[in-house]
Amino acid sequence: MNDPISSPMMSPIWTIILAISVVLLPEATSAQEPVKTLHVVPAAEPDPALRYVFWPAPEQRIQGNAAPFITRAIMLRAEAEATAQMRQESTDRYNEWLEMPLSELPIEQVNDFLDRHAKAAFHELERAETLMGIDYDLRLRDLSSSEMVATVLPELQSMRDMARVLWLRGRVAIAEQRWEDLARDIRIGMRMGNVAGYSNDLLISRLVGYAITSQMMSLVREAIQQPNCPSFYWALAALPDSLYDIRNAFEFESILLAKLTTSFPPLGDKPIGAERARELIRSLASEGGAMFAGAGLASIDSQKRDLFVGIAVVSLAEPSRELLDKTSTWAGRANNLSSAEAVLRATLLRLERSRHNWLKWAMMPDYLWADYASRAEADLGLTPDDPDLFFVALANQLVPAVLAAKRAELRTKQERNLLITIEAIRRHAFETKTLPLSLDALEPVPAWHDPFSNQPFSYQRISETKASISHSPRQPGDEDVTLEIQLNSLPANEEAAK
Amino acid sequence: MNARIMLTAMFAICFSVVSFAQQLRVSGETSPILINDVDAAKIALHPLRQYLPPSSFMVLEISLLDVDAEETMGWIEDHAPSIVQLFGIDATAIDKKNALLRAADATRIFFVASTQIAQHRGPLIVIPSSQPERVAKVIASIADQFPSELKFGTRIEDGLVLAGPEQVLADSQPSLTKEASPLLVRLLRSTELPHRFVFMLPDETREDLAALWPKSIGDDVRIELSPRQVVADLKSMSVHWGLPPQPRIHIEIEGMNDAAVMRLQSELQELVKLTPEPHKLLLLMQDGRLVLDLDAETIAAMINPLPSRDSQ
Repeated sequence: MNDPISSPMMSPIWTIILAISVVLLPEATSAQEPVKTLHVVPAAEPDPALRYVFWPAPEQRIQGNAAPFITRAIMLRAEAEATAQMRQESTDRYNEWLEMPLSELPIEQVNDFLDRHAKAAFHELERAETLMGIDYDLRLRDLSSSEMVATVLPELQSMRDMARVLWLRGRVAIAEQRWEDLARDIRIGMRMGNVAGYSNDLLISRLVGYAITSQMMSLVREAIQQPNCPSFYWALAALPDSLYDIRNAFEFESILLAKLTTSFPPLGDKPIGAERARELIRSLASEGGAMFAGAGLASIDSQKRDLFVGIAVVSLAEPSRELLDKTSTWAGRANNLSSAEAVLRATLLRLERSRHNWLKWAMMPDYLWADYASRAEADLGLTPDDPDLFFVALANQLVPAVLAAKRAELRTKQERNLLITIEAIRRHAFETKTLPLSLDALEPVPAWHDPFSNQPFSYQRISETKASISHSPRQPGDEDVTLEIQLNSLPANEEAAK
Repeated sequence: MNARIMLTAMFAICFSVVSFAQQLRVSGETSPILINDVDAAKIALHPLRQYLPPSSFMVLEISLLDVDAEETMGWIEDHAPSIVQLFGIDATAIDKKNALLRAADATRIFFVASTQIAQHRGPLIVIPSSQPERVAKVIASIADQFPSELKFGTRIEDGLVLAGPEQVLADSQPSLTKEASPLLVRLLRSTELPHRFVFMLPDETREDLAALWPKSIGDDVRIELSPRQVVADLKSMSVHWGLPPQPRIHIEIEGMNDAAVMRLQSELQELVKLTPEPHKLLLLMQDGRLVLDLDAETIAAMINPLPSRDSQ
């Protein structure tokens, strides 16, 4: 089973590795090989329409904190799998049963296993389902940038593991065509993704939230290929857009860069002298080096770091002066600065510019992102010629993560909208017994747009029962963008009921 | 123009050169090397005199007349065949290019590195010649083999061919200062060896490094050397050498003051200790400088710790 987010501690390199991992996840951690053809059956609107929802219904929602119950679920599960051998056995079982075709799933054995390993945990998760608050304050703002980066978050990985258990229970519900139970498990999973994603404002948390959400989406994909599966159009539509919002995380992580210099007094616009500049460079290097090490970007001892910083100051002096000379504050005065001060001030300037670029593109609404992503990428990317101490390397490491995180957000939304569109097609087929000629012709409910392009998904009807639907690439080089839809007939009993 | 006027003009020019040279002062000198140690006229007329900005820290001079790559590689192959295989140097091609440069009246080639070398992506190359166009063509043919992103180019300035990556050429404009470059002073110190290298940090650079570099290299390096102390104490290092068949290396190290020289001797002794027996190097103190001489036998032993063919 492909499970790239598997670090037990989910720590230092979270932002980078996870973002890249999530981007590389095939089809939202689908349980099976990537589905090229979806075999679907027509589906009527449930009665009442919101009989199945993947988000707690308004009347069910309770003010209260879901986080302690999720934590308790994790602990209870850990207790049920106390030894390393038990955990390994459990992992092997999950891997096997999640990859296995639904028709081969040994239902009784799986139920028995889940009963022994996760019954108490499920109980806590069910209690968390309708508690809409998330209060899990780790006081990250109180930490220095290096402490923040080095913060280990094993609970995130545990939540993701817990979601796999829920995923398996959902598969059993699909196999047994218990659609109410499936909807409840997906609801719980979506809430757990929500809690993971918003337990703090780190990008890593959002990404784990997306990963859990994607697992639940894969249950939907699997379910709608089963005969008698009800329409989940409104169930999916019930998922709030706020579930995916990543902007706060971008803003919060920008604080990391700001925190590097929070201990600095304001430098003002008068030269501070070489000695003071060197002192501040040492402080910046120390905090920055710790941040590097904490983020797992570079394991460098303080001696080699200081050697590098010394060489950087010497070699970056001239380009630093050139950079400062182009600013209104230092125009015509940059040559008067000592090398150390020029490099320090240029570094801080680059740092601030990077942070602002980071933040400004995060403000861009989704529907403009597709058109401006490459410009954002160019703006965020720094070249090795940029005169700063080591933030070029740092920013170059972080920037791809930022872009990948944004793509992860859009991809998660895309999967939901794609499934909603397929559900609209199933509704249409229920009414007309054929696939629609185009997405514009869908009745009675519309298709949703591809959030990457803000345009409808590309749809082509091949025959009355066969069509293809394509979405925008989810990451650079993504060629797996087309699904075939094969419309099967309703089972005889359903047809008779209709 | 009659002969008298011509003679007067020549005398005036010579006088100007000499008097200019006499005015030259090496800034911040506290070391034993004085401007008087070298021929002042040589400084005034040296091809590099306008191309050594204050940020320069290293000059390398190769005497093309004293380069025989095939002979050198043959000697190295005799003493350390693995090095030849490792680098795969085409000595014949080097000698051919050298012959072309010499045919174009180029006898020396200089490499100048400044503290901007990383941004410049390479040093400035300076080749004096009476036929600079021919030299530039030879250099261009060599540069064809360099990566295109280096944007290596040449420029002709007053009997000099300047060559290097685009950025270094753009930044290398002729500039004459009153004070002679201390690098040039050291480069011109008389020695019988034809090839030279001088390393000397600008004062501010030295101070920056002395403030920022660590006191030790780290536990994983077995040399007990303090980068901070060495850079604070080291004023310059000059290396002069001759190539095979009779290779020789002469190294001179200047300290910032007498105490610094003593500390350097102690620090560098750590490095000297690493040389293989029985060719232990001797770091001598001469005229307030540290001096190290390596003869052919020692060099052979250092490039290949295994017994050479001759000694078997």
